[in-house]
Amino acid sequence: MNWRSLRYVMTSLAAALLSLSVTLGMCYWAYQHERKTEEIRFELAANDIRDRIIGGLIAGDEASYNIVSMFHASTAVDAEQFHVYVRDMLARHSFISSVSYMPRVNGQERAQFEQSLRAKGYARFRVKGLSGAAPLAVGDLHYPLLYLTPFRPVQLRWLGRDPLSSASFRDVMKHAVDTGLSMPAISSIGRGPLANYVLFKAIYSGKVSPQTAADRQQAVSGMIAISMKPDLLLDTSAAVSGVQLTLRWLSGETWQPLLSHDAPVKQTLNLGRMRRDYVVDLGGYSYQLRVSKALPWDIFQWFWPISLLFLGLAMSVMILMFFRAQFSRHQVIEQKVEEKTRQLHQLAYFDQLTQLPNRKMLLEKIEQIIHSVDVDDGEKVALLFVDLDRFKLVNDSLGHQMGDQLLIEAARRLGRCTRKSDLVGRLGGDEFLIVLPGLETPRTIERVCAALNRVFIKPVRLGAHSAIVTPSIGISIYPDDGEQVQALLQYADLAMYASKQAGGNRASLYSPGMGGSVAERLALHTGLGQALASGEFSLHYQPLVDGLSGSLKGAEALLRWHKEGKVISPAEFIPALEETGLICEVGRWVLLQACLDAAQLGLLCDDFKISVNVSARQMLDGDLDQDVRDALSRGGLQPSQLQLEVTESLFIQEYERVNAVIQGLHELGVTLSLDDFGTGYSSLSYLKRFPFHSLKLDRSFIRDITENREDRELVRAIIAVAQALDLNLVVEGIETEDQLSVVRGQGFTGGLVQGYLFGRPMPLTEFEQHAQTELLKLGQYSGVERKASLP
Amino acid sequence: MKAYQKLHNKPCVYAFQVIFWMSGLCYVFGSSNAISASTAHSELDSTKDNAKLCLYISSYHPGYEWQDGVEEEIRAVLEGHCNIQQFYMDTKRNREPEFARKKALEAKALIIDSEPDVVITSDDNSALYLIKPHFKDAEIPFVFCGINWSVEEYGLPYSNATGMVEVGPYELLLREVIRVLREPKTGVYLGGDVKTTRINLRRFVGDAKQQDIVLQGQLVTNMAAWEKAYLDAQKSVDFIVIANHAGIADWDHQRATHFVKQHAGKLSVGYLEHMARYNMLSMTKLPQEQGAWAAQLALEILDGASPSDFPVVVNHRWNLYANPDLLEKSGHKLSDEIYRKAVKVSL
Repeated sequence: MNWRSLRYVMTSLAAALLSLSVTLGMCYWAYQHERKTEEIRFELAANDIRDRIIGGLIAGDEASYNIVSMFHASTAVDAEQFHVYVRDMLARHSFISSVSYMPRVNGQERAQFEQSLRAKGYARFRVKGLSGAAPLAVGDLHYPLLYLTPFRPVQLRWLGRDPLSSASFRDVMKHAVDTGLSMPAISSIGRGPLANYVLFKAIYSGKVSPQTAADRQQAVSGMIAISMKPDLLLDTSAAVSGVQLTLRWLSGETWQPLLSHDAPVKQTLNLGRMRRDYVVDLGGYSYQLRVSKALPWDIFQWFWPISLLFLGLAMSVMILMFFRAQFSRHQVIEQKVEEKTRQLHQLAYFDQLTQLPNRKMLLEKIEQIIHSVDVDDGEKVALLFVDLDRFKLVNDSLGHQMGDQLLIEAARRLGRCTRKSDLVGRLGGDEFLIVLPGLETPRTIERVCAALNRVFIKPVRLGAHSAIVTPSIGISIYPDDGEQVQALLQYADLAMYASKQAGGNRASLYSPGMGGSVAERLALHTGLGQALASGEFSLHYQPLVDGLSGSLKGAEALLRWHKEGKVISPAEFIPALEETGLICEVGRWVLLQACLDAAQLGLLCDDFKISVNVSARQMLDGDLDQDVRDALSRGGLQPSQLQLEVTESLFIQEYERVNAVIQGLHELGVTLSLDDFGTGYSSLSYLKRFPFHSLKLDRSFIRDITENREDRELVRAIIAVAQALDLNLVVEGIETEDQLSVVRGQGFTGGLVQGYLFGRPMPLTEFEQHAQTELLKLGQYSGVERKASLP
Repeated sequence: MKAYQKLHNKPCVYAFQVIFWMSGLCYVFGSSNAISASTAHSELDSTKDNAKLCLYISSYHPGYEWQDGVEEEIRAVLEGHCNIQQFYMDTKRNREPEFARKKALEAKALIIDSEPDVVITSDDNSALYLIKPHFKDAEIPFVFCGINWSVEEYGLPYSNATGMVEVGPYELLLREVIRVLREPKTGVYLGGDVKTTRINLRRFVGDAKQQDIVLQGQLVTNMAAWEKAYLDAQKSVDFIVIANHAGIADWDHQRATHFVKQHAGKLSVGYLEHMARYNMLSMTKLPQEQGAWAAQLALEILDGASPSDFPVVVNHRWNLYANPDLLEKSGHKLSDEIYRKAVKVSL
């Protein structure tokens, strides 16, 4: 994954994460909103509870004031008045369970008080202790419960009982008398007028409110007790809102628990706890109401958070899918771009045929390799310039397709001979380059060269054919031979030429002296361009003799180059002519000159025929048919006096064109000879398909014919083929009488022979003299006019 | 959907579904069983309560207004808590002690035979002839009501008997008289000459004495005497207490009405509902208060309490009646609270 793809993935992930974050944020917001709503709900409920409970306490306090006011406003409050008044109050405040009136009874008045009550119908009435069981001891002061509302039996059980006798209430009641305030007391009594939470308030006689504690103690005429059930408030409130309530009052400096209520707590996951504290001052006391409530998760209205969560997740998925689709589209485009880029890179840096690095890439790679070499450690780099021997022959004979196949196979074999770290590339044509980096000893080079020899010795299958091509290797070494890539490459090339010149299939290390050979080769190429114009080319003629009679039948025109007094071998300059493309122009000259010379030589005998070699390139690229007509016309020869020699490689390529040219020449009357038969493909189908007049047996079969039985058998077979196909046979390379004799002994029944035995190639004038001499020997010399022939 | 089906096919999901439905079924059956159990329990409680017997023994007879008021409230309170059986001694119409004793024995037989959980009696004769001689400190709990002024003459309360004493609003009436007249010194108690009225007179006089008021009794036997006493009082005392006309053989309602309309001047108060029209202010007892208290005590006893846990109490609720015409004619003004609460009557 490249950076751009990674960026796309990161972007899509970031978008999805952003969406997810927004979703979670929204959910959190919704949760907070719900929580806030719940807290507000709790706040309202807590306030309501506070109002009810504190309000209840205040109402109790107010009730005590109102009842006391009733006593103050009346000289005597009878039971009915009291009950009626209190009944209304109880109806209004459900948390007030009862209200009682307790007249003040001094110790000495107690008996009289009891008697008066008994006289009023309260049989056996007595002022009793709070428990009601034991008779109350005579004390200074009593507050017996007298009016008890609601007027029910459970209340009236307390009739006559004196709460002042109980330590639980004594201090509170005294404090209530001393202060004139409503004083609360917590009672352990479960039912009745003094149950639960009791407010005591004193009633004073007189029209003026007493101001001091002493005055109040003096003026007090009775007390009222209001029994309240704040827990009823707590229970009701807690049950309604599911809260925990704690009511405490400040006793001294510490908060003492007064009442508490715990709502049933659901055993569930809680998200926290909400709490409110309220403090109220009442009747000289401070009360603290604490309302708290757990925040269970299931109280929330989860619709919005869940909806938002799912919506957000869906959007996140959609965004992810959108980016994924975009990414896929982008990826497709990117893959195409990458493919095209790769293809361009492949085209730019790789040889399309062999898929090996091309020259450009090789040069860049070599540059990189050289830069990375640690010269100080003796590290070296070797460049092996590999050229395939006889590739041209294969390419020319079997065609480009087979040539390409051969190059592919050669590339594969080169790869098999190298290490992973080595670099193999194709420079062009049949030239390859192997780069061996990290060399410390020459052994690696030797191993690679040996490997190359091993793998290339095996024949290469090329369709129906097989061929052996061997490598010529030139080696230059960095930094020994140079430091520049181009120079190193050039030195390797020079070394490769040295191998070529030495016969091929070998490796040569570059040495500074090789530079001269290259210069010579360059000079050769340059000289060829000027040779024709400078008249440096000439034709030599070698006699073609009847193999049975020995009479002269013609000559083969052979091109020679004289440069600055030296004769340059055709083996050197003919390939150069092919390489430079001069072969067409020079071939045209040869054809014309041969015809002109043949006209002169034709005077020596009647059936003299001049034989001229024609290259494949000349036949394909040039206008051979027209060139032949011009040459015959200018030489004044009959077409039958001209024989063109072609090699088998001609027929491998562009069959239609070749066939057209040959058919044209044949129709013109020019005869055709298949040269070098037996060394190449020796395809009999060519002999059948094309209108050949003669077959020229290669000299390689003759060289050892006297000793080599196989050569003799081959010669016999070829002679038999020529006879069978009714073709004239030309045997070249006969240098001795023995060879001639052996050839004759192989079923040779007629045909031409050629070789040093009958005459070397020689200039025209020399050939004329030689011919005259030979003809005179045979009595055939016509001596009329001179005729010429091509090489 | 495929994913849901796939999930749906998983064994764990089946297990979950089985648990889910089983829980649902358990809940449904559990709830219905709970409901059934609750219903059965209620029925059991109801049967248990209904199996209890509350025996109401009245000193008087059905149709007597006071008795009916008491019984009405007893039934209203006890309804649904116990079976109520009643027995009427009918001693109002049959005043002979022998009759009362005979009825008391019948009642006793009934009590022994029916074994009530609680016995409620109303008025004095049931206490005098039934509780005191036959069930004093017995095991069977008794609740009495409507006993006039004091239970001391019957030795009540007993360990197995408590209840409410019936008192008159004399003290309250005198308090209002004092409030209206500021410093009344004398008054006349006017009524028929019968035992009950005489008893009431004594108590009224006693209460007046505590307030430094001299209350004279004028108990008459005919209409003319009643009129004369009424006229004399207009001149000689500060206020009049008009008591029951029982004992005045020729009592004529229209005549009394006409007479009072013509001669009313002094503040007149009373404590009987049927005499309220002749008084400017009347405070009357409520039979329902007696019956309600007795029934409430009975409930406590049915609930396991002992009669001795509860003191003897007196009634405190009164019906108020005011005659605006007479008040206007006389120029007296009642206290606002009383006048506001009072039922307005006229001659």
